[in-house]
Amino acid sequence: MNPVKVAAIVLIVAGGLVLISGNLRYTSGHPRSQTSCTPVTPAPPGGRAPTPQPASKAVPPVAKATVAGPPLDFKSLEQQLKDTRAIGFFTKITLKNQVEDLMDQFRKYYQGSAKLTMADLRRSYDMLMMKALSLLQDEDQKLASAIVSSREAIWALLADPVTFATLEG
Amino acid sequence: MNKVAMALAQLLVIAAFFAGQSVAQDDEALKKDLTAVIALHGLPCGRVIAVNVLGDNDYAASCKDGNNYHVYLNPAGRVIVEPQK
Repeated sequence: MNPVKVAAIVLIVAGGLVLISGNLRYTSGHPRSQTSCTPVTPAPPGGRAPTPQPASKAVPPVAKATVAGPPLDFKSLEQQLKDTRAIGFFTKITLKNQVEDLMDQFRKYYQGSAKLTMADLRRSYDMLMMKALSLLQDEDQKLASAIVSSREAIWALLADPVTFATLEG
Repeated sequence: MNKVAMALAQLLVIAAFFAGQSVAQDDEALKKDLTAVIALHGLPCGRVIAVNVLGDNDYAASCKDGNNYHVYLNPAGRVIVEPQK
């Protein structure tokens, strides 16, 4: 084969490899298309817990979502946040830390050892959702939309001690 | 210089170009990541303009507003942001 042709092929292959390795360097997540959504049916009220605040009262305005995706469950949302390439490693860990902190607050509330009210928990929940949405809405609109449409379903899971206990398990 | 050597030289130039671009993209992604982390902790920053790597998952970030932060992952798996003077 002509050495110029060989060199051209080597150039193309090497250029491709460099591009691929560059993409894998810092943000090593799964492609967005791998996200999967699981529909959620909000659980019936437990009865022995304090009644959750009506959603319409406590929910601050949310960024407009372009397309409303199907609702997610809590685990699915967690997985999609892990998989998205819209936010970096440290941001993901920080969001995870803050989700765990919120879960701790719910746990203490249900154990009766927290000074927080359900309205305080709702405020913390809304704030965390807003943080996640503001990070995602520009670069992963699909996930941001899914979060918006799942917001009340996830709240229903957290605000009921019975379904919360299943999340803990 | 023969044609093969010429082609190899071109290959090196192109590889160096893309490698440089990739490092710059990594750097920007890291700055963006640290900017988001500092904001999530409710600390003032604006945006991160410079990052020093202190170790594995351990960074010194300088913000546009003049604040500096030590951002690291502690052994318990929590991201810690400490203001630096």
